[in-house]
Amino acid sequence: MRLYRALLRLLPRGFRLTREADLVALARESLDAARGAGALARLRVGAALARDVVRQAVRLRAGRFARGLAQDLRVAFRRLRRSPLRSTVTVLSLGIGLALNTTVFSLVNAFYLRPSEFPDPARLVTIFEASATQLCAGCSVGTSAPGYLDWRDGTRAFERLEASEETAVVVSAPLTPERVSAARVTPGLFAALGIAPRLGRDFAEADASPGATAVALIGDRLWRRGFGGDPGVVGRDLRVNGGPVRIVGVLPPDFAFPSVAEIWLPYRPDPAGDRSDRSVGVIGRLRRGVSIEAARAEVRALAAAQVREHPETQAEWTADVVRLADARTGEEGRVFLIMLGAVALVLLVTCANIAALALGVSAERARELALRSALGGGRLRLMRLPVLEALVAGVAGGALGLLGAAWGISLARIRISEPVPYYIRFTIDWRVVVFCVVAAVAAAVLVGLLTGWHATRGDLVGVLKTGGRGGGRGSGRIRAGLLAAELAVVVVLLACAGLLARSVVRLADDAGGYDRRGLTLATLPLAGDRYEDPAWVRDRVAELRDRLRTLPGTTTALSATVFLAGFGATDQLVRIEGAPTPPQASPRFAFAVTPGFFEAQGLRLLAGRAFDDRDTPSAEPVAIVNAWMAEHLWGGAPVVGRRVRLRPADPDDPWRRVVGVVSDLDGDRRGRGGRSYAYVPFDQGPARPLQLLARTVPDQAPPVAAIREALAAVDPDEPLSDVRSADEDRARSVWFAGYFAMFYAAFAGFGLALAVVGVFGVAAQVVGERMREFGIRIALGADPARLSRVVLRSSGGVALAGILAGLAGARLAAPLLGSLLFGADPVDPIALGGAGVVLFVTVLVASAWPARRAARADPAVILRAD
Amino acid sequence: MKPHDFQILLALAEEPRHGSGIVRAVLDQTAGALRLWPVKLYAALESLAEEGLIEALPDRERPPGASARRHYYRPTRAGRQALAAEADRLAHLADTARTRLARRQRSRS
Repeated sequence: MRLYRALLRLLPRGFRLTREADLVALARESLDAARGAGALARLRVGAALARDVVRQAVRLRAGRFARGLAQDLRVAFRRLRRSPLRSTVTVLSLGIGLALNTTVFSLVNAFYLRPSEFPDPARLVTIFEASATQLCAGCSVGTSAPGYLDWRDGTRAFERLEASEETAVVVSAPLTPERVSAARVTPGLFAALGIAPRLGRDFAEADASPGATAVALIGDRLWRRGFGGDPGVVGRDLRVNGGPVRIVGVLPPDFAFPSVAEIWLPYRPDPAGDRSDRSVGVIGRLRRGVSIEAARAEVRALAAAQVREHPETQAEWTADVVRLADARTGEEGRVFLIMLGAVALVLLVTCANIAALALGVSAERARELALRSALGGGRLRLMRLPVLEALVAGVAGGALGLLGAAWGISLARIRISEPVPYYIRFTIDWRVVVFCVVAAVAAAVLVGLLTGWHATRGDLVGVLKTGGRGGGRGSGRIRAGLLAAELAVVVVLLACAGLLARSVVRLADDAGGYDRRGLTLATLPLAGDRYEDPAWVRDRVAELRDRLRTLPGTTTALSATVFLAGFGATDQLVRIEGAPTPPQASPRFAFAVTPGFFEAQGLRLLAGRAFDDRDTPSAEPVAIVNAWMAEHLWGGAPVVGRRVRLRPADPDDPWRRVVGVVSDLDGDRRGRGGRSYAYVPFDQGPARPLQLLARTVPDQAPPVAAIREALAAVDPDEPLSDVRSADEDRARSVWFAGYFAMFYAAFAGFGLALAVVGVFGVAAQVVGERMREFGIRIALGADPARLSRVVLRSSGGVALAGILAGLAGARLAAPLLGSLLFGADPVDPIALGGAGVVLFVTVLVASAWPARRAARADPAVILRAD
Repeated sequence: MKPHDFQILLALAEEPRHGSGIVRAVLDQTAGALRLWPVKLYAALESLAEEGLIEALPDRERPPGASARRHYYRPTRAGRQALAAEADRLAHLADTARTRLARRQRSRS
């Protein structure tokens, strides 16, 4: 029977206490009834009794827990309804915090968490050349065609080693001429990746042999755009770069390897190719059981051999092997990861804020909880209510967060105008949803525990005695601590936003040496074999110029970029007659421009003459330099009439006479000094692709249609692509910085708003709790202004502590922004100091109202209320 | 209605009973097939009381000589109605069963 009583303790307390006697009596009766039936029967009855207790205990407790939960949930809802302002602030701030986190997480997800589209991705690697001296540190390039062949034939670590080269082609039929991203790939590439065409066949070795029929694989999007998704497309022809190409297959959707290609052509690497042209991307599939380290060692040994054999191009170069997945995450992925850290901080601030807000009402809460605790509720049971209340807010906030994230992601997609590699997709998938839910629950539980723990802690009797007037010293200190921590985080965010904003402003401020208003830009790819012939290019451009010349009110010009300095060991210095070339003064590229270019671009002629129709291919080779180059190459001496060789490494490159000097194209771009630019007449050095410049008076629409017409008359297969204003062009080149500055500004703005709410709430509570004291002090003749100052000083103290901690944090966090700063100083005193000042002023403003309330404490009203 | 709730209501139909009285009555009316163990019984009594189908007997109506420690229960009006409805349902079921069995026998012969 003692055993039975012990077992009964399993039952819920309330149930047991009222019925224990009845239960024991009944059990005894059952046992007595079995007395005559022998030991075995008694044992059986005992077992049945025990089973009965255990089974019912589980059932009753589960039922009571569920009912308690439902009841608490109802209470939580009621309470949220009763203080709509606080609930709205809670849900909204949780919602915004979660939206920020979810948006940034979706970016991280796109880079890090999406599963690879390739089977057995761990064995896929990319192999590339790298140089500590010939490239910026950490930069990498592909390899050359002969370099790839060396690797393919000289390594044993790979099952297959395949190559691809990104390019762009013009597809004219069945599309209206359009520039399409393309890739030339070795025929085994798709097999190595493990991707099979959805229609037709893969490339075969024969496709890449000389004299084979020109064939192509097309991507899903091109298939739908050009052929309406017709399954009979295999075997039909496309016009690529002006020639017919047979379609042999269609690749699966969401595939654009290596990054944005829509059409693939067979590639046959040329063993006699230029080793300094490192534009070939190499993909390898490791043999089973071969480690990446072993492969790296093999490739490095081969690279060392290449240095010995081809020192002129390979000196100071080595090679590296990296998993494809790692190569893809890259710098942007890390940036997003840092951003996730920043928004996690924002969410923490949100939680601290909501908790501080809830602690304020915990005066009333503490009284109620004390009462319930006195009536016999366990602490865990009491904590459940605040946690539940926060969870209800968290669910609403999480839903808001997902909506906000969907909006944020679409915003991010619009802002990213650059073509994004196909394997990076910003979408809300299940991982993002799970993240949002987990973050919402974690935030809610954190808030609930922070408030609940405090409210159920310690001296309940004391709370009841004081009539629940304020949580006492302890709660004040916790609130101040939470607030200071929150302010510190906001300072870090503000400082980062300030740093980024300054780097963006500097980039955007860099107006360049010309007027962007009324300037329209477009691109003419001039792709394809026909344009291999410089004479053909020259004639087409001459014809196009004749047609464009007649456009009213518009100055048009064409230019092409001529690269002078390649990567690698090629000489990057131009040669000037009669003197050694000063270092750092040589242009890295020149522009081949048509007459009228300077006028269209808006550059001023400072000396000599501009190009004109005299500068024919047979006339004396001439060049024009910019003021920066003139200054740095010739040290301020007159330069018109001097001679220069732009490509001294090329024996065919002529000496050019400098006939003019023009103003600089750009000023202090990206924190660096000016740059050297050289210009040559287009007819004396035709190149492609072409940039078209059309200058109209500001606000007049550029005659794009007329330009298209003129182009179609010259070459119906040539597209006028990427038409944009010079302002758009500028914006595009700084979008990355602008994008992140915008993000951080949003974080910081939100953080600041939270800080206002937090400071206001805490100051108002402190004042509310001390109203009695203030009233008495006023009654005793204290100066009201002094009381205001008391409140402001306490807020200011907390703010100062927070700001100091925050500045220390910013000092540590800012360098993480790294490359986003575009060379800006990570401890920029203006950004850091500005963040501190902005926050301090915000804190004072937010506590102004509570401070005034303190000053107007009316002793009569307050004392009467007691 | 759950079978043991029905049995308890049935046991209380004639006169108020206390715990062990109910256990014995249920054993009787089911010919020993259903034995209500103590906690099960009181849990069922609790939920029946919460549903308003039974109530505890006030002290003054307690049968003379009954122990003061023992709770007596009786069905409420709603409890009686629920019991009657359940009995009707069971009777109807039993009728249907009999009719169908009889029909099947006839078609076989």
